[in-house]
Amino acid sequence: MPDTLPPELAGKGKRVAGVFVFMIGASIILDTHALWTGLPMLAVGALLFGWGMADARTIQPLRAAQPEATTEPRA
Amino acid sequence: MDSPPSLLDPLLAVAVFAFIGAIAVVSIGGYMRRPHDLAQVNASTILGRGIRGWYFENLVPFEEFCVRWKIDPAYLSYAQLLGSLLVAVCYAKGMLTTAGWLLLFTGTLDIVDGRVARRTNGESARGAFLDSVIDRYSDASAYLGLAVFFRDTWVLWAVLFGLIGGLIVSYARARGEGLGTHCHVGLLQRPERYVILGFGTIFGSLVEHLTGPWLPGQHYSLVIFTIVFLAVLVNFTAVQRVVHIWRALGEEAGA
Repeated sequence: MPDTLPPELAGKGKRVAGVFVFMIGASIILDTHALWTGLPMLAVGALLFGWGMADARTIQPLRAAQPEATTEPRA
Repeated sequence: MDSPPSLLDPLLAVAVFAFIGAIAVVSIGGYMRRPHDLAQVNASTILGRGIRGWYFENLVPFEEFCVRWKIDPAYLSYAQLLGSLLVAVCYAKGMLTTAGWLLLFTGTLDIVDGRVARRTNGESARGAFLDSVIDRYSDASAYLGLAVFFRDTWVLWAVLFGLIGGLIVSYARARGEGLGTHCHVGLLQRPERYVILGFGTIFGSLVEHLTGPWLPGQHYSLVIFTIVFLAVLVNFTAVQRVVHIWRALGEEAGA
């Protein structure tokens, strides 16, 4: 199915979900010291966030070939 | 919890603080730099149009997902109910940081289900009724967990005061609208309550973890301040609504 999201929201859902999962994992470690529950959540959250960043192409090495920058105003 | 505080706790708390700050600066900053039409976004005294607009933008991908996969908004309400029960358990067991994040998550589900229902034309009287009932359970479950956690202290009174205020805020609106008045007034609507209680317990608990090795014992000063602050403001909102409806009904009677 085609993606209906505007380009500036590419990967946003994965990044937001990643932050939530990461934070809940960190909170579980802080609150209970249960590393075996918290660490996998930290890892999953970080992976989701990274995946979202890659979708948004905000990481320079992952950025696809872009048109040359110009000083022309955008349409 | 009961285990002695280690240096890992303050270090992790600092890392979480820094991560929250970085995410807020980058995400909100990025949002604010782009032009937006915020005329459709309702503003409130506590959460302005910019913050609400940023928050709603973060929800758009989840709305798209639910619409695309035809997820019934009622399922989101059930998930909210389950999440609220988890919030109550976490608060009751003293897992305040976890409870705070889960509370923000359930509050988000509460907002997403209404937006998905509007987008899929799935709004129905039955859905609205189910949503309202689950919202009351969600509201009360957070206070229930806090009441269990603070059961041996004076803070229990503030928790119960806040619970009653929250129920009156919702009841006054429902009863007022049943009598034909509109009641979208009040300092603290439900999103504000979720944000204040959620972030209040998250930051309060983080401060507790941060100061644990140097200030042994559990103080929860910031969490207690949040609960008292919320209880006062929620009851103020209840009075605001009662006065608003009282005046509106008086005007109708005089007309």
